[in-house]
Amino acid sequence: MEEFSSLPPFSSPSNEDYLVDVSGKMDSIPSISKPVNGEGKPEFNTLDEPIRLTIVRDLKAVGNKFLHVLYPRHQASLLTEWDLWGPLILCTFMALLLQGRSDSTDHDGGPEFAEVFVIVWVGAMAVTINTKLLGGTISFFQSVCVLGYCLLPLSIALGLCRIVLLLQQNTMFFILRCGFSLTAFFWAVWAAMKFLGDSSPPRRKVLAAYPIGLFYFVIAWLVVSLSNS
Amino acid sequence: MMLKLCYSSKDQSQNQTPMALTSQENAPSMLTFAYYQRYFDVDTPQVKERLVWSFIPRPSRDTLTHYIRPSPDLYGPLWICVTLVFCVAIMGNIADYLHSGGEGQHWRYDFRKVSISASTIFSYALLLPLVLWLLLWWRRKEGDQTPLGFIEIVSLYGYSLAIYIPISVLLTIPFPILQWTLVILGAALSGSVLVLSLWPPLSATKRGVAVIILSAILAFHFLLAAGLQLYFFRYTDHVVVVSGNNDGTSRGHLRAVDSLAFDKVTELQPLSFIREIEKNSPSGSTNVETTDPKTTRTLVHLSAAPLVTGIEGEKLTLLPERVAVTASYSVSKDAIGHSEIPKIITKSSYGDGSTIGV
Repeated sequence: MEEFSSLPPFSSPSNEDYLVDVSGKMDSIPSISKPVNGEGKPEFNTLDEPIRLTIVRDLKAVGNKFLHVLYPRHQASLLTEWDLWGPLILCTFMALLLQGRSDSTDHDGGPEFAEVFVIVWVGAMAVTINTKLLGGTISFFQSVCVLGYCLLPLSIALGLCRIVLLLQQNTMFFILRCGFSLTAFFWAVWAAMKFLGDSSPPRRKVLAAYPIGLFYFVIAWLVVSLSNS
Repeated sequence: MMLKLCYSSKDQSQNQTPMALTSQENAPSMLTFAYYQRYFDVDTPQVKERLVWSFIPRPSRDTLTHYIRPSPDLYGPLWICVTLVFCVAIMGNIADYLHSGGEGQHWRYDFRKVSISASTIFSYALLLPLVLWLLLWWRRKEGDQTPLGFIEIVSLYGYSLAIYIPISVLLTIPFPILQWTLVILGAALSGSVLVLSLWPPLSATKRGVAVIILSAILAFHFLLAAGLQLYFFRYTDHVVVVSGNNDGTSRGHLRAVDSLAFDKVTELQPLSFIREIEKNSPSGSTNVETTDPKTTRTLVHLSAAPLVTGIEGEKLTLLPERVAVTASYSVSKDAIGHSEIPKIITKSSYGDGSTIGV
């Protein structure tokens, strides 16, 4: 994701003066303390920066993409700078919350941790391959990235359902959980179509959209079927 | 020559793209992506058309020749099968949920259902066309019309499963008559489309053989529908009598679900069962003798011990170590006319291996 530019390497500062001391070193521009948001590519060798800054930068990129999923405006951000961190975080989060209890009988009901992973990743791959077979012009990883990031509404719904399940259950709460799940489903499909919609051939948009809908429907079903047992 | 091909193919099917044309000149190998892209060369109106004509039999223009044959596709069969797999599994869960009386809590998602339905449906959609294709290929004679392609048969079979999707939604309604009507209707409609489509190629062979093959096709189609219905959607109520222990001091009337349901990978039978135990057994059956450990074992619990420990009235102390239950499913009526679950045998972990038969 980050570019390494070919600058003459400046002498590595010692640990405590990464707050820049530019005296006598005006040739190279240490911009370590300046966080980048993606608008300007950093012009330095990122191997020398503290890990904290690397992680913060990557997390900001992921968070930025999350925002773009919630309010899809600019297509380019998810597509051109794709990454799979976001899908991994979301998938892990959902798998942790969705897994059934391990100390009860075999079909206590929730999917296992690995089963959620399989559904999400194999499902995303299947939908991507379908789009490409229909003649789509999107690359494999871009499509998987978009599908993974658009799990965010469903993850939010899952979190909310988990909170609702802490209360005493009755039909009202069940309908509430269904409502969360359904809203998240429509939101996810809408967001995914905003990003992926233009990439399929004009007469096949419904054909490309249907597997996306099915994929998110299955995951929404998993969210609804979360139970307290 | 190339131009002529171009025009004729344009007449035939309005959506023949140049991509298909180039694939005729240099057929891509099976390892390339373009090979499989040929089979996804359909547009939305085409798919809709094929879906509609997959369950409306029309003797004059059969589906295979007129709708599928110009460009057989795999998009339809693939996504119809996937949808059907998830639909059947989800609707089976919903049927459980509705049958348990709408308890919001115990609605579970069972993966085994998905894998079982996936194996069934995909093997039906792939193996039967394979067998049929091999049969046709083996029996072809000189001078016959070109035999059916494998992809065409897969296409036809895949689209014919489309009607089972709305049927599986409707099968959640728990009236057996309605369920069987839907199953028979759906299988008849799509089966007749299959038969009508496959009749012209098969009629080249001897008539008797063709009839046999077609009736086998129809039979498998019905079998699939009936199998799905029986496995995922079967719920009836039995009134059973469970006697407490061997001297019969505690009795309660329990409603249990159909014995077939015990085999299924659904979890909600115990819930309705246990609810009934809770409702009925404490009041009618408690006496002093029933509180000793021997008696506690007489209550049948089916899957997991924790389910039964919720019963307050009788101080049950069922250990989490399993009381294995094997239930035999013959229901007989005694002289008074009560149906019983005979022989619910519990092997307790207490070691004395007492079996309680009813």
